[in-house]
Amino acid sequence: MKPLLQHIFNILLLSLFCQIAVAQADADTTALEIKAGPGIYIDYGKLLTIPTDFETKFEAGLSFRLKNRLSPNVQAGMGKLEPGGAINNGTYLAEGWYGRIGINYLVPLNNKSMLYAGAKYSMSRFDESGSYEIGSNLWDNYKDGFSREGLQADWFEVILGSETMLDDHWSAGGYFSLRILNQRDEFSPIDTYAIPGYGRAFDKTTPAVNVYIRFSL
Amino acid sequence: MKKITDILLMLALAILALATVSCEENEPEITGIEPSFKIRFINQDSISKLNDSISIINADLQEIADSLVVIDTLESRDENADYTANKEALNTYKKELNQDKSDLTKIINLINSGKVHLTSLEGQNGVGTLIYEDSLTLYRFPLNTNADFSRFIMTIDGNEYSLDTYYTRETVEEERYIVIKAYNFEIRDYSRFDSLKISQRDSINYSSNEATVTAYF
Repeated sequence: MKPLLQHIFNILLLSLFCQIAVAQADADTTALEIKAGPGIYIDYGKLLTIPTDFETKFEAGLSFRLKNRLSPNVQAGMGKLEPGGAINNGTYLAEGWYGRIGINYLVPLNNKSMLYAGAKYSMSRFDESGSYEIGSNLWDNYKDGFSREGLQADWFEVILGSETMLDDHWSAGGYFSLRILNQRDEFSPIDTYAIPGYGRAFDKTTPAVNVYIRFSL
Repeated sequence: MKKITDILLMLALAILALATVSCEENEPEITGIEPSFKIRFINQDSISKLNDSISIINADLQEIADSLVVIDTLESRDENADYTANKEALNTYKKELNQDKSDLTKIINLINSGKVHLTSLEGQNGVGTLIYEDSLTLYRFPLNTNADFSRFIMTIDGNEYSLDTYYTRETVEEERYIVIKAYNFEIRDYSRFDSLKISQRDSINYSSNEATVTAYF
């Protein structure tokens, strides 16, 4: 999965670089204006997880674009994560909600496309549970589990994205983000494995890519 | 050019979306992770009997050596005397005894290596019996993860032996397996065994998995 992510990220960067090059050749970007106003968007990448057995995610957001190229935004999402590798001799489930609040700076490349960079603060509230089993040919198998509710975690994100208008209202975009974990509840001996909205809890930083369709009101 | 970059961007995002759903679902792996200790069996009684036999052979060899000296003395006194047949008989017997001694030494070495056929192993209040087809130098005994005590009942050459093991259990996460480690491992009773030796560097910092027991019978 990791090399594939790297390739995708390279393609994304290449694509962004091409867009910048094209835009610079096309026009003077400082003269381009932002179409101000509110918009709602939905993460279609996460919708693809709904039919799968190991995770279900949903994320949608609201943003407002200002003439001064700033775009405050909020997102809310839910995640039900059942990663098979969390407990090799058992099962694991983390389920909860998360929210992100942030601001982007928009850089229009031409009348249809733009790049943006921004920062977000995110937090998640979730429950997790797990079970595990130790087998034996001689003795009864050992079975146990755990359940923890009301766990919290928060993190920061720096993002770099790109968006293209499909028509007057609809646009498609995506952004790469680097999530930096700030705080989370810790447990011993079985620590939290996954945080909805963040990823694996033991990674202090984690890269992510979000893809979305935006509807401008 | 711009259309190409847009397509490139969308392609990258589609690949990413596919990558997010391509994770494998794993079946829990519950076997081979229980705490255990290694044990080797030395048939000390047999070694003692074999050593007694070797002592008898050595005494016989000494007598042959003494007889050969006597024959040499007689031959030197009487030049006409012919003891060839006696000498040959003694040398043949000496050769046979040396062969027997060599065979017995090989058996002792084999026993000392610990290669013993443990016919069966069961745990008191356990759920199964392990049957061994071949002789092994080292056996792995799995501990009961549901208790701080395991009594093992084993059969060697039709004789029943038992071992009472005591330990403290601790749940730990190890390479994404939730396992039980057994510390402070000791064997308090070993009925029908002559003596027992546990080689373990440090019973507090090392789990039972590091312990090798040598049982003499």
